[in-house]
Amino acid sequence: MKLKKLTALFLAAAMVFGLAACGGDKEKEADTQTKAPATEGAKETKGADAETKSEGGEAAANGETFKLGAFLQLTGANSVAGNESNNTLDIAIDYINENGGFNGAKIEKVVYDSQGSPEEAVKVVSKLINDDKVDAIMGSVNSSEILAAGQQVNDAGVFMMGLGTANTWMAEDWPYVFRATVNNANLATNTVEMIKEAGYTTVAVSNGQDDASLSTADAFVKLCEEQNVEVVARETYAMSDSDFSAQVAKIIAADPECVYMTNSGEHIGPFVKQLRQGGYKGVLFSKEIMSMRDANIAGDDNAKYVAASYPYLIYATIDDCDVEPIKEVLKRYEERYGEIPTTEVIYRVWDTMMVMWEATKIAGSNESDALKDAMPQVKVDGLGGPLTYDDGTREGYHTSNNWIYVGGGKNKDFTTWLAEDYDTYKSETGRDK
Amino acid sequence: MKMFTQLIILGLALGSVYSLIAMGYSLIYKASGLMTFVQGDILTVGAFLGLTFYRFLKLPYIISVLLTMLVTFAIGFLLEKGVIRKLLNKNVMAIYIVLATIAVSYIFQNGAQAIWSSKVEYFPTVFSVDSISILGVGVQPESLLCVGASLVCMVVLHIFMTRTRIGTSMRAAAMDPMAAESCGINVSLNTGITWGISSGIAAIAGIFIGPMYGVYVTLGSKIGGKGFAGAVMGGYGNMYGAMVGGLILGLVETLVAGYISSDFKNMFAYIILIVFLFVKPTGIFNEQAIQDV
Repeated sequence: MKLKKLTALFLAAAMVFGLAACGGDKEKEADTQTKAPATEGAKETKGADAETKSEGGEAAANGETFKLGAFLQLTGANSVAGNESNNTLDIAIDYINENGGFNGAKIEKVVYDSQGSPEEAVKVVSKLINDDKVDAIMGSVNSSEILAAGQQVNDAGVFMMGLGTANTWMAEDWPYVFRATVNNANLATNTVEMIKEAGYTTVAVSNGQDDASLSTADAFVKLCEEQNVEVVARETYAMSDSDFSAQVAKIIAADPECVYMTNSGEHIGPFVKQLRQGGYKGVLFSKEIMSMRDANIAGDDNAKYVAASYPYLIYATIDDCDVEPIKEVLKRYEERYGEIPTTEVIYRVWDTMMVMWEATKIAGSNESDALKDAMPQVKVDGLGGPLTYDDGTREGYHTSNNWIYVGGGKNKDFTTWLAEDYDTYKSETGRDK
Repeated sequence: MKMFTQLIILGLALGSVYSLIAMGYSLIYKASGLMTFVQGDILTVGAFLGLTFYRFLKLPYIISVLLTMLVTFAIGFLLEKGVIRKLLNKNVMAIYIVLATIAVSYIFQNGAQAIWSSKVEYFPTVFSVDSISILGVGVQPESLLCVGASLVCMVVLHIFMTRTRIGTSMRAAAMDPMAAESCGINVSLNTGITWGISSGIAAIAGIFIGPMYGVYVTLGSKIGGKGFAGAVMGGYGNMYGAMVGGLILGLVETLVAGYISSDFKNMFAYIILIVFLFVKPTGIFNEQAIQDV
């Protein structure tokens, strides 16, 4: 009996202690009932552009709702992206609801944890379609989940917007499926251009086995062949890996002028760190922009000279951000959750919701078929540039920006960096290129 | 040649991490005749506790390490008392103990996520240098810490188990609990201490590898499986075997990835485990299995 009490006391103390120590960093629970901070400033948000749109209102007065289904990875090692997406979804839903909803209908979120598993994604999407009978679906930031679940969404004729960035699932003939995020294959094209711009002729590739990582690396290698950039090594890792010693040794032995990595999630920081500690000092090109969390894990000095083509950046603080619409979204996030997000998925979700909102306005209806047919007319100023759908690809972003991380939480335009800082980089690293 | 040297050095560094985990498995088996699958997740808890003490509460590193070992010792001890001992008292089959440890491992994973969130947290390094050059190969200083810790643990645990009264009584308790009890050995206390020590060792590994890999909820579960394989290869229950088994596994993984393909490194690691189970189940150090739990 005594032991039981002692055990309970210890566990309670450990829990309280842990929570007290980490309270500042902990994500708050998503709560769709909480009202969003619908400020005047928010109405100026470029992506939202609320003034030019019809306000609806009749449906809301009638108590109509628009059931938005979402499948996101909310648990597991890489769930931070899913949780930040979920948080942003709540903010965007509240913002839209306070500005008229979808043609007057209040958006009601139904979210399931897809656990980072394609199998689970198929199950929860089936539940969204058949049991919850949602009006539209959004998800996931993991492309492999969309690739697994997309077919049934399309077959059911439910309007969907995916949050992943792989080229694979958008290559499927799914007319009901769109996206307002980037296509990694297009970014790979930009990356090859960056490599050529810097004058590099050899590259080593590192990729994981998940859909986004693998398909982007494949696209990149193909582009390199076409553009006469020699791939001198290609190293892969399993999702369960945390040690990259052998990959690092092989890359260093191949002596490439630069490295391209399509690593994602928890693998970026350790890989960059181990590569640098192994002795590689050259420019690292990445499929994703370096997050502050990854830069911290890699060590700020090691994270320097990681370059990427991406529409938007991740900022260490809101003050570092000089893009007003992004700043506004970050402020909303911080106001509600007490911290700024660590990944760029929040931009994906915000853009996606704005595109969906615009589609409902153009369609004048919330039916999936009407939304699908309205999409080619959608034009939204996204957080990373214009989002347009008139080319029949169902892709929104057609432009990007090229960056390189220069330390201290700062990124610089790649071309400017080449012109202004490349000699400093060479003397710092002792490299010719 | 440089690549070979690099692979050997980095393989040994990786292997020493596996060795630390393997020693925990072996210690528990040696002292209680039980198998556990919770070591990897205790490593995770240790890494998070170290992170909390060192980064969040800003305590000195050495104090953080000691506090983490203390707390994880308590967790291991309470785990034995609150779960394992209860099941043993019900005279359940050994398989149910194994299943219980698997269940506890998931509870630890989800508990860690509930307390510290699912984010990958960075563990600040304590070293002023980022990399140490050995034979021209850059090595993470934390790796060397793991090598040192695993060597110290191996020797200390071996002496503890074979040359001390407590160690001897632990082994006696593992071989024949009833006879040990009749000789005045407090079997329950002994096994509780063993689980505590094993947890403390896993926590050391967690703190040391935190700066290398980042800290996240599945960190230990990934490495734990390799540690188990290392323990089996060395001779399950033998401290030197755990050390050598872990090192061999680290070397095999790194060399396979280096000279064949990184796609196959995990496959080869577990093929070797299967080969050992078929050809030499007592492992390199010929450790006999404890028959009677």
